Amino acid sequence: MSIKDRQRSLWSALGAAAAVAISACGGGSSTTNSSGPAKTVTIGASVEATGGAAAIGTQWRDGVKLAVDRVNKDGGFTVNGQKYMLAADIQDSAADPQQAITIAQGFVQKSYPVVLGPGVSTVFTATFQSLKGSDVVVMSPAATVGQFLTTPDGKYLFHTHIADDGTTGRVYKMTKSIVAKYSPKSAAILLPQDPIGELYGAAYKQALQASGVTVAYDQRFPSAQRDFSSYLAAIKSANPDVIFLPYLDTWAVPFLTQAIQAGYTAPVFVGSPGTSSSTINGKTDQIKRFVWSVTTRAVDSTTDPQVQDFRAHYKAMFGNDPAPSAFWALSYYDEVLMLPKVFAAAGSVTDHKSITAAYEKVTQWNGKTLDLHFDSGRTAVYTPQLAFLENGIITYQDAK
Amino acid sequence: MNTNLLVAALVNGLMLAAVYALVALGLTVVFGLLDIVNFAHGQMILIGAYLVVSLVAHSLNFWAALVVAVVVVALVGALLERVVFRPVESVPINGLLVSIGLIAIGQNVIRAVWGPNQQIVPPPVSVVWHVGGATVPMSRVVIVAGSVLVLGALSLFLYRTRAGKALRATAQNRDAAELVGIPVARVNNLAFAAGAGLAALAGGFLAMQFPVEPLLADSPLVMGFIVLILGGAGSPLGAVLGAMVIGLTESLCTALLSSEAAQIVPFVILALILFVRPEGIVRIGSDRWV
Repeated sequence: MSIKDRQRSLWSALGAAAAVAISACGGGSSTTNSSGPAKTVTIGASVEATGGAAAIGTQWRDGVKLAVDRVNKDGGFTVNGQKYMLAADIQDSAADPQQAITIAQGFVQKSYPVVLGPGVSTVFTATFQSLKGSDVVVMSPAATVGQFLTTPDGKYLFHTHIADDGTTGRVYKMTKSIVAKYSPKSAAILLPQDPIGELYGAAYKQALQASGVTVAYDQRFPSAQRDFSSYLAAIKSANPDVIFLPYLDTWAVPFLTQAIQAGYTAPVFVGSPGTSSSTINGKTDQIKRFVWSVTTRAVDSTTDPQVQDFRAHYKAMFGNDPAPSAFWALSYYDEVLMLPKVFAAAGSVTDHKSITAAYEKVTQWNGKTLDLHFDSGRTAVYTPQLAFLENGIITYQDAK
Repeated sequence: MNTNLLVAALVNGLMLAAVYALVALGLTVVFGLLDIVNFAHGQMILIGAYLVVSLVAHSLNFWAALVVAVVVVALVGALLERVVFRPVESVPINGLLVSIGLIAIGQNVIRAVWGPNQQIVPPPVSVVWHVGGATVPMSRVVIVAGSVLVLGALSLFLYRTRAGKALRATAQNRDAAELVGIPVARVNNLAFAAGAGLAALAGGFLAMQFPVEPLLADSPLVMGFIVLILGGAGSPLGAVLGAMVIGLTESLCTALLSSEAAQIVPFVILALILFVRPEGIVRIGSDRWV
């Protein structure tokens, strides 16, 4: 072999060695130090992206997308040496119970380990009852989840919002904070005729009566109602110091608009859990005192350290800062971000019992936004937040 | 009894009645002539409202936006009559079914174009009057005045114009109208366009008062149908009288009794009136347009 041939051989060998070294160090799911290429775990998400709850459902959808993207950008996760990436099969039920049932049954047939939603109470109730006997982990923020948690069929069910009812629930704490701040003598309650309206109404009354505040007016209206002028006339006649408003902007915004038109702005207006700062947009000159409970956490705050990571990720994905109403995205966000740790703790991506047990144990995960954990009853626990608007300035306060 | 509360309830009731009357008048024009119960009327109300929102957002004056919305939706109505309803007019039930299909199309178009969130139009008038303890926003007075004007204009059109007489003649007896040379197809088209235009007008007035969102027209549409039946299907005057009965009842019950009563009592009144006068408040004889 000539010298030149030997040199060529040497360079070829060095080149081959370099290629092997580079490929051993480089990224790509097929060459990591796990056994084989990365697999995909798919979770199901039934969201109400169209229909009557679309304003909330689109936020739920975006929260799931954001969280899945975040998990995969962090490199996925490893369970028992096998690397996984996460995917979400997001389906729109249009807030139609029949459609939601079909979607849920499809998820079960595809053996998804975790299913998110439906989130609307009436849709959830119909869907969950059709899933009886199916061993799937279900997570939902619906207010009616609570009634299923203690049933045999609910042993893999999680409520992703803090409990609204009871003396340790959000509504009770929120009401107590408001009474402590404003010392009202009487209150008015106006809520829709639906399960959440009844739940909130009962909790408000309980807290108010425990604080010695008279409930001067308490009515429920049909959900298609938009003209509240007659209700306002009756409320004004009752002369309350505080008025508890319905829980969606769909109702709260026209109510406040008509209250302003009627020149009735003296009381403290309280938006039930579900309203946001957008409820009061354009009205801060006329409505001097407005309080609302942030269902999850105010993601439009630029000063709250808990939400800055979420805000940055949201902007990177969607191109704009989250709107005030994007707090709904947190209904599923942390629950999806928890999955890498949950699956790892469970030692499985399929076994429902161990996944359920792991969800109750995991308390730290990448990108954590809410100070969330699940209690032994599989209900979310995090600190509820109140927002106070007074003379045009919004301040946030944790409700204790 | 709290007099201020009673006055407020009466004033609010009149304003409710005005909205219901506008919705019912549009339904009456279409039903009275074409025998079509147009469930897609709600989508036309919504499209009218959303068009006003979009035009005002592009710096057009509210009233100009309202006129444009009425004209556009009237043209859409004329097109729908020609392309969708006329082919099935021989079997009225088919028109009803087609209108249900149009609901689904309308809902999806509205969502695709305008999205699910509320959109607000700054009210063109913001003066507020105080009437005996009741607060009356000028915008609502405008709605009442608008409804009265529309009724007057509709009556003038029906009884003082050739086109109106042709419309009434066609409603009475289509075959006879054709025999005397009335262009029935064109008259039908005009009626549908007029009904759609009235729907857009109702939508524009709703946009003046409430945030515009996909479910805005649901309640007024249901009440519009009740008013249509109560007033005497096919009678514009009946629609207005029926609207007053329903609007005042609903408002008085809400303010003085309860929300539940406000939902039940109008239906009880409907049942009672129909029991006594099955044809509705305004008796419709051979002349449908009273």
